[in-house]
Amino acid sequence: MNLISLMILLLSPLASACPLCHTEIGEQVRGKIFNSSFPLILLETAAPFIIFMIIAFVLHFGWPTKRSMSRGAVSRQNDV
Amino acid sequence: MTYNDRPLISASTILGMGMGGFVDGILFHQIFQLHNMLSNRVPKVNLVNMEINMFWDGIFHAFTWIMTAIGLWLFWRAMNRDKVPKQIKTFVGSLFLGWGLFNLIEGIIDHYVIQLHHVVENLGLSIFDLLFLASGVIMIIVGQRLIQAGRKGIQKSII
Repeated sequence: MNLISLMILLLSPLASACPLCHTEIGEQVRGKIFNSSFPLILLETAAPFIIFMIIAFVLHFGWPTKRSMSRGAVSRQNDV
Repeated sequence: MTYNDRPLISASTILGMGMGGFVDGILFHQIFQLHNMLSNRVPKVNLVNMEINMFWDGIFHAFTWIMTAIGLWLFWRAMNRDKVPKQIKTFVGSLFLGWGLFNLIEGIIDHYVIQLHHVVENLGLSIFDLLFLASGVIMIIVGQRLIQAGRKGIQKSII
């Protein structure tokens, strides 16, 4: 059984594939990536990162209503 | 003199998010291959599907790289400001905060809401997805504690 599997493996054609490859599998890959659903999947992949940037903005500048940054500031009476 | 730790916190938090993203991508997507970006929608059952997942893993890594680059740039700017304290606890705490936020938000959106993938794809939505969220919450708490300790350290140093 193992010998048969090995023979099939050795005799099977090599599959070359990448989104830029001009092969049959490459065409399939390209067709299934760059189609009408591409913008939606891109947006879904980017979704967490959009929220990360909003959080980073709030951490840096504070809530848009109070941008004073006073909460992050620690002050003392005398100059250092 | 007034100190402002916000630039250090925001820069380090973004760095933490980026590094957390790389841990997810390198460890879970590539080394252990427990899941890939679209593995719940495009199962890794043949070469074409694996190539599609590999492409979207790349897009995920590209976004993660951009986050890390922005974090580095903000960190450089923060370190060149006189009013920003160079406090290691604030720095490490913010890294933890960022990593925790990454696990929590990415886990909720990608694993539960959109369901692009799950932590262990063969199991579907499982206890490991919950553990991923829990790890995020724990790191957020640890980060917050360290940031508070850092602020106390700053206050002590200026009194």
